[in-house]
Amino acid sequence: MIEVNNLVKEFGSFRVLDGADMYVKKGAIYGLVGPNGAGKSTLLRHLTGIYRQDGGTVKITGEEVYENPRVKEKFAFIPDDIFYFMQADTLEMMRFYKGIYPKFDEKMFYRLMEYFPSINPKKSIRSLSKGMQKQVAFWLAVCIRPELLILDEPVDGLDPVMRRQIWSIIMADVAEHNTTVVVSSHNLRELEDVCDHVGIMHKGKIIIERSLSDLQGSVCKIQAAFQAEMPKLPEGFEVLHMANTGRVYTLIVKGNPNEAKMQLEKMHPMLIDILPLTLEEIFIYELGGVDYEVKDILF
Amino acid sequence: MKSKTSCFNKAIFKKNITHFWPIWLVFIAWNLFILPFMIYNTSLQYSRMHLSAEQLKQNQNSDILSLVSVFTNPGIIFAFTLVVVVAVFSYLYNNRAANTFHAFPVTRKELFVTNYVSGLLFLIVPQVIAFLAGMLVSALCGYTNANQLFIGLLFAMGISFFFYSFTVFIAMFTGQSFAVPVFAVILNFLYVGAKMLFSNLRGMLAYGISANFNSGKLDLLSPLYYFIDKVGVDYDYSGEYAVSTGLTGSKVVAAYALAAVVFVIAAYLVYRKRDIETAGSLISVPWICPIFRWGAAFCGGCLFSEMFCDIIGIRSNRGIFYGLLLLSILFSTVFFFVAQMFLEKGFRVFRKKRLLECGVMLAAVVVLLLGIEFDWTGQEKKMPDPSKVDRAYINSVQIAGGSDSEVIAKIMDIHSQMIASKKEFEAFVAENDSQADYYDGLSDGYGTAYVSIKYFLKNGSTLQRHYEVPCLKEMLMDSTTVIGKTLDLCLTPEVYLKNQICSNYEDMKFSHCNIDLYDGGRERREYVFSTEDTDKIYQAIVQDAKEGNFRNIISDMYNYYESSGDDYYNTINFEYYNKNGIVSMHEEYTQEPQNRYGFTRSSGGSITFDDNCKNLISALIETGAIESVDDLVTKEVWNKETEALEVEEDVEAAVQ
Repeated sequence: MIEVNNLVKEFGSFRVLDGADMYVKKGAIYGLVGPNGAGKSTLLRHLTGIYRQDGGTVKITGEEVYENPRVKEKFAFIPDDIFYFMQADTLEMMRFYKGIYPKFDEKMFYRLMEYFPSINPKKSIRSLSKGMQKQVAFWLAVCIRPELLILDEPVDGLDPVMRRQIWSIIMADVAEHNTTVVVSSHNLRELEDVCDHVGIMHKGKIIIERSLSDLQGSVCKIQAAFQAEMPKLPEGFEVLHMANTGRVYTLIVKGNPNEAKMQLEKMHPMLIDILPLTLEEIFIYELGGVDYEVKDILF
Repeated sequence: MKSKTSCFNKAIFKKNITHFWPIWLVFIAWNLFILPFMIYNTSLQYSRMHLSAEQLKQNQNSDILSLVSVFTNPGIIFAFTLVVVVAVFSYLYNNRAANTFHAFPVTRKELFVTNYVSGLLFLIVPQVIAFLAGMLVSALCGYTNANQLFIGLLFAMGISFFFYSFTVFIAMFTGQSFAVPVFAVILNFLYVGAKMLFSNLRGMLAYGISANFNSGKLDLLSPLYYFIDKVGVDYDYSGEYAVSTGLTGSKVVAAYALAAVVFVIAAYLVYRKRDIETAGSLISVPWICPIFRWGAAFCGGCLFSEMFCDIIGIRSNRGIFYGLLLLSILFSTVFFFVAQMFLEKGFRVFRKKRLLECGVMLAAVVVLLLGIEFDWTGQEKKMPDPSKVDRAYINSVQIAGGSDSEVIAKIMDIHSQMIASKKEFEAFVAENDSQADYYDGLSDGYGTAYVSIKYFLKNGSTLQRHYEVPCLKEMLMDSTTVIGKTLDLCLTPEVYLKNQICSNYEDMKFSHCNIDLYDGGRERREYVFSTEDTDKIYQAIVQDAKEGNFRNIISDMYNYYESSGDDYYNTINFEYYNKNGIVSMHEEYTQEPQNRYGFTRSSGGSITFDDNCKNLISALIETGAIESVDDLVTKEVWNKETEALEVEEDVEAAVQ
């Protein structure tokens, strides 16, 4: 669905995107994570054809996005700070979207009205709360029947109830229309429950891009207790981190969890157990000392 | 479903119409007020007057043209244009709006064309509506010259088209909405403003170079200035009264309308290349930034250094040079970095690269000043080839000159003498300050005088020089000095009459002539001459001019601070008439009418004389205006009597 190759963007002398690569399959929910200033929003603005790249390519469904209305019709973009016309109400924005997007579904708009009972469609959008404004954006975005939803910090600054509502709108659309979603956030915990693919951005590059299951299968936390000291571990058994309390050892091991457990069992532990690893722990141990700043996205 | 190749988007157009309605509504209201309402209002006045058909037609014609000139007023149209451009392209100046609009499935071409057309219609449609309503009201009120309205409409549309396209072009280079009107105003006057600053700089530094601002063909690079100067109501002077006949400047409007097409295309090309992330930046096109910095440094440096130099009041040429050099370096540096602060929206601009660039800029400033001061281009010594001179004039207290080769040779001789005397004259000027010296009691009021020379060359160009030259009383009597030679040229009867009356004085007729007399001391009495006596007086003045009897009167003009007092307080006052219009000597010299929208067929003046003017005094006795010369009172006597009277009055007041 999305193919970004060696994307470069400079703002003056500052290189914001430094050869970023990104691949998103159709139907995926792709979480783009990174600390503030990593280049997430800039990357999304290239995906939406707002910015013209200095180098590299940005393709959606095999076509360049920039200045290509045919491609732009296929996605809806909801930025962090949404723009509405001065004095415009939801109905007026709906009429505008209807004129702009050929596939805009007016019937769907009225059908969805019941899901947004707190929004008065005849009230100026700018007078609504931030959360309600976001809801209006999702309401309109869903009605353009997008194949791709591009969301920049969609729940940033919202209260937990509003966050849940927004995510439920996104998930409902994905479930119903197999919509591809690219969602950026600087908070990994936010994405853990919804994304099936994750890309981590740092200093203008995507340094890791994997499916969640791949990530979860690549690192594991094992707790084991031995009669005496920890025996010598076999060759190729890659321990990212190890801590002990008495004779109970906690190991973060790179590789398949079951294989690691089998190898440790050969050393006759008194007990052995595989513990669940959160996404943020995986990233901490995966990245380790490679880049300290990555921790910023986790805490 | 919209066409894939569309370059116009109905939804955006509709949004513009519905969101910016106050703008077009105000413009409609303004135009309706100017045309239909004011036409109706003026027609009401005529219903109460008893005018002949011809008078009514003439008045109506004049009224319609007055209203059309407001309707087509470039300044007003420009002001509305600024508002419209800022509104329809406002999405480019706000990050959120810019991102949202450019994420929509529309091309930049579609966005540009739709917004451009929307704004243009905001300007044109109100004008068309006002025109149609004006036509209707004109017809109902019995106006017969409604065709002027149509011409006015074409003018208004042409001017609107140009200003709108030009402002859109400017708008593409900036990322801040407030900067659009600021840059638009600056660019509409930049050329003439910069020319003025440079002229002034040359005038301050270069010997003989005038600081005066002269109009030129390239002034069209300052559109608003040029429109105001060239577009207006045209007059026919052939009748008894000047009659407004129509609008002038159609070629100017047409040429600018053509230029507007270029600006639209250029604006679109800039928009295509524009980086959307520049929303909020002062300049959105990177290569403009150095031009902005350098332009601000040069213009700001020039303006402030000239201003401060004037305030300080340095008189010596070398002193002015050093003053300008130091102040230019200071102010150019300040403006350079202030411009950079605006560009970067911060104060941390003193980086190595920028300091180096500033150094290069200052070197350019220094080279420019050195070039002018030391006349690297040879402008100070430049004199025209006599065979290529069509006319030459010298302007001091009077203007003398013309196409006579002998006069041209004399003027060139004075000019070459002034060039050769550069060091001597500059030193004299530095040491002598006529005004200060006079008030300090160091001089008799003489000191220096200004002499300007202007050549009209056969190729249509002009060469003008302006000098401050030594002018002491004895120099005026010496025919080898510059000022003596100049005075000799001004003393010819023709020059005297041209300056005192008008350039075409031979064709004029006196309509009134009198002399002010003071009987019994201070009681003013006006003695009016008959037509026959007026002619005698005139002939006597001509004879005195031929005999050089006005020499003292004219040389006295070089004393700016103290009159000799030998001339009479009584003056000959006259009014005259010329059916072909009166051309003053100043108009002949400047080639610019003094009153561009009016027409002068009658004028007046006065002749000051002294006891050297024997012919005039005889004529006054002969005509019975005076019995003897004792009936005339000199200024010296008048002043003494005035002082004595004032003392007397003060004493009386004190006694009471």
